[in-house]
Amino acid sequence: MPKTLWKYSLLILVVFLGGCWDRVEIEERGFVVGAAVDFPKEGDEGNEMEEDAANKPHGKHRYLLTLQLVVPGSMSQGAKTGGGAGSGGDAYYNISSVGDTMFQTDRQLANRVSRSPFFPHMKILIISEEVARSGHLPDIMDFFLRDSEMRRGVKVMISKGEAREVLGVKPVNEKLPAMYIDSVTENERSSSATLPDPLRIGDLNEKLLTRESFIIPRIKSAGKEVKIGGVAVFEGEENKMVEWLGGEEVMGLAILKGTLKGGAININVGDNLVSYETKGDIKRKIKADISDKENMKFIFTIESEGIITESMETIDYLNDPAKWVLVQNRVADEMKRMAEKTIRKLQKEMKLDVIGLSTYLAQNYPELWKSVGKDWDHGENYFSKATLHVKARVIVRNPGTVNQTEPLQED
Amino acid sequence: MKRGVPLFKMLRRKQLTKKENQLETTKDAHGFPIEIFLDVQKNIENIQKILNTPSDLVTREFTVGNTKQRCAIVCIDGLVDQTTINDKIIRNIQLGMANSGKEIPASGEELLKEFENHVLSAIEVKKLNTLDQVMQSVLSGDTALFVQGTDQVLLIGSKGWASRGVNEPSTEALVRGPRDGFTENLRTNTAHIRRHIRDPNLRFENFSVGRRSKKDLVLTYIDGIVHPDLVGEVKRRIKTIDLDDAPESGFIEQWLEDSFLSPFPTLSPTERPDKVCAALTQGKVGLLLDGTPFALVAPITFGNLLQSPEDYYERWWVGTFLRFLRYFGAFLAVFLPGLYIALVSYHPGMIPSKLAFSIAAAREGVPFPAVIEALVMITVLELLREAGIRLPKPIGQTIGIVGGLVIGEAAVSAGIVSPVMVIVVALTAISSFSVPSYSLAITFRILVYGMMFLAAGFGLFGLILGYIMINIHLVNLKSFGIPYSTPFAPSFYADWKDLILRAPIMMIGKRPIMMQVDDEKRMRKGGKS
Repeated sequence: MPKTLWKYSLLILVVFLGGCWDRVEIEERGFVVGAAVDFPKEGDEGNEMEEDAANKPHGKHRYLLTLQLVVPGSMSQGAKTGGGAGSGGDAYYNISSVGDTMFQTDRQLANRVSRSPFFPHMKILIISEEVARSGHLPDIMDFFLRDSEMRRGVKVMISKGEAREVLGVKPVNEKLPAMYIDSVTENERSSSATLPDPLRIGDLNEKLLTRESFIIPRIKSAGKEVKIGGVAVFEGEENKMVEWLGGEEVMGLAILKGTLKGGAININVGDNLVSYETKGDIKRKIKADISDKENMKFIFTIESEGIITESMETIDYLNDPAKWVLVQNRVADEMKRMAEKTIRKLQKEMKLDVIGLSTYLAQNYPELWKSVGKDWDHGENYFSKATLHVKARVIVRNPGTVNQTEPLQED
Repeated sequence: MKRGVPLFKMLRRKQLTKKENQLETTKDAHGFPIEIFLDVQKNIENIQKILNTPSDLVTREFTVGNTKQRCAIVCIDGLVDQTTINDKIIRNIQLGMANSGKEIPASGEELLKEFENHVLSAIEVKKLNTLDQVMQSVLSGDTALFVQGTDQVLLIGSKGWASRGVNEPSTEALVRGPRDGFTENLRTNTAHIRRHIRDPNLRFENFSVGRRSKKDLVLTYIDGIVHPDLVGEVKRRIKTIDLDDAPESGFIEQWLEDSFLSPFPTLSPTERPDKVCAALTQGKVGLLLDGTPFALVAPITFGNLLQSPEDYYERWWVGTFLRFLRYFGAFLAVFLPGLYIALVSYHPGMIPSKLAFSIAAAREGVPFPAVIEALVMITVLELLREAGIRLPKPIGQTIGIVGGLVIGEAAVSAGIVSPVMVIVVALTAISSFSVPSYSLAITFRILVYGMMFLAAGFGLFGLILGYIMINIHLVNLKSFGIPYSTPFAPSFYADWKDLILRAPIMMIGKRPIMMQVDDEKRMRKGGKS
């Protein structure tokens, strides 16, 4: 029996010796909600205490990493318990450091905060235009993808101007800038049109691994608010940022990709404006004529169903089918115009395919893709040589809750 | 029975191979004569000597009619109904015989027969001839009638002691369902069951338990439904009972249960006759002990303990909803505090961001880690529960408010515990009250501690380990040979209609397969599967 007891006490010891090794109470974690990566400027310093030895490995660049940490004590007004540290102040603080690698910088930062950074709640990662254009995007992303604390749902954005300024905005209705930015990207009402779909870090990883060109949403800070709109276009070979696409061009892109979910489209009827919004996804079909490699033809057929959201022009929709059809055609023309504008810019100026034609070809014409794939939007650039046509069809499902707001003018 | 773990082997109860303990005579041990004398006077003196002339012993000698024939009655005051004795025994013997004009037999033997056949108007009369049995009957409330000149004794059923009326069972209250509950009176309890089941095959088998107390234990089942082996096994176990007294059916339960090391109950106590009756029709057996309102039902499974009669009394949508709710509640009752500790101390990344921040904010300034906080609060809760039972009713209310609200609020504002913890503890308490079986609820209250320690040591990993350990134990446990986890494992899918789901009653056409009943159909039509 003593032997048995001995065995069981060993078993119990396992609990006390093996347990608790990674226990950190929730209030002792420094929740990182946002991160920003810039190139360091004059005056930004890293770890000055370190003497640089001559043979110390150095990276190609030094980066300025800014983390946004939560101050939970100031988060909720209601629960003021005990000695809530820093209550009343900002619910966050931003802290920056310079280093050769992201990980090194992160650990340097940990030396300066009382609660070690904890990444699973990170919402957004902002990279400055400068860094994006330098072609070091994959280098930076590695840490945010590789580290076990990272989640693949982090949204990535490219900032026009300094990235850390974006984290410094003071939103009016939210406590945390990062959460505010996160909510803006989720905003259904606007996300449809000029706001591109948020890009998650996991998806970005996918894109970095292929040679496909891709886009990342753009963010701009303006004092108390941020503006998310437009996208940065990256060329797929070196993953380098090339150019911006503006608001309307993003909408055109969404039409071409078939991802448009809403957003106002204004058309002229008579001498006044009528506004239309797509409801649900639009339908997109591509028809390709690939007989000539040098001059491929693609026809985009777009079908959109939606409603009239505003009609400054007084139209008797219910009794005037001709006008109804007119509105539909005008909207179709407008969609076509926007799409073609985007095509022009992508095809002729940037010569980069972010519409997804490369995927379409690879999936539907794999034989052809083998021969043109390498030179699709590089080198020979068959993409820029192709002809892209857009056909749009619009169905107005209902004219809204009233037919007219003022009587029809008698002619 | 195989047991691999030496610790359990070590603690295992020695196999019960005791000889059958049955009515042993105690009188001769004290040196009193146990025969019945022909003389009434001598008999009474003997009885008085054996019982040491207690104050509640009533003896009365009288003559029959107008003759000199002597007889005597012996009974225990308080256990008998005095009007029965007056009206049906003494009046009939003295007045009735004098007025009947019949000739009164001279010999004691004849007189006794005359009493038994014509004079006594009581319903329950039996003839005995050993003092041992006579004493037994007298001590359980019968009246003994001695007649001069014979060694036969008439025992007249005159039980009638003060007993509590039939009340609504307080531990198993229902919104809808019969309001009557068992009482301390065994006869009332058997009557309850008879009233529900008028089947001639309903059986009541009497056993006497307790070396000293000699309490009646009734085994009840429906012959033709129940599996005969089950009855045999229950009887075998009952015969091993060797106690000097069984004040409550809990003693019987602990003696009969399959594993005394398990925290889970393998017999289910209940105060509700309808619950016992439902169990009987499923092929189970019931045990009723005199002197307690708690009957026992066996065998039971884990699923049975999460069922309430109301599941069947309400329509099946409601029943199913309540079942789901209860399984969820049972899960919370065991795992919620552990889950909180694991998430807060190890995996804050798994909590939604905003909730994580507000928990962090709430815990700001709390000096203890989540484990200590949880342990303190759960223990306080257990104390309150325990105190709540102990306290007199009018104060009980107050302590609920003082304990729950004031102490909770004070602890939060003093920064000793976080408000979230109070919510967690309250939720756990509510969940454990949603478990219909009190004995299972207590089990859960113990398991909570285990889960909290595991969560504190190993986080979610530990919690999952704990969950697996509980499951391993449940599939190993048996209740009278029926695996405790049936019909989950071993799986009897036909029984799943009445498990988490409560199918419409027309669809539950067969008795549970796991009970291996003799007569498995419970309705002629409808039961399609």
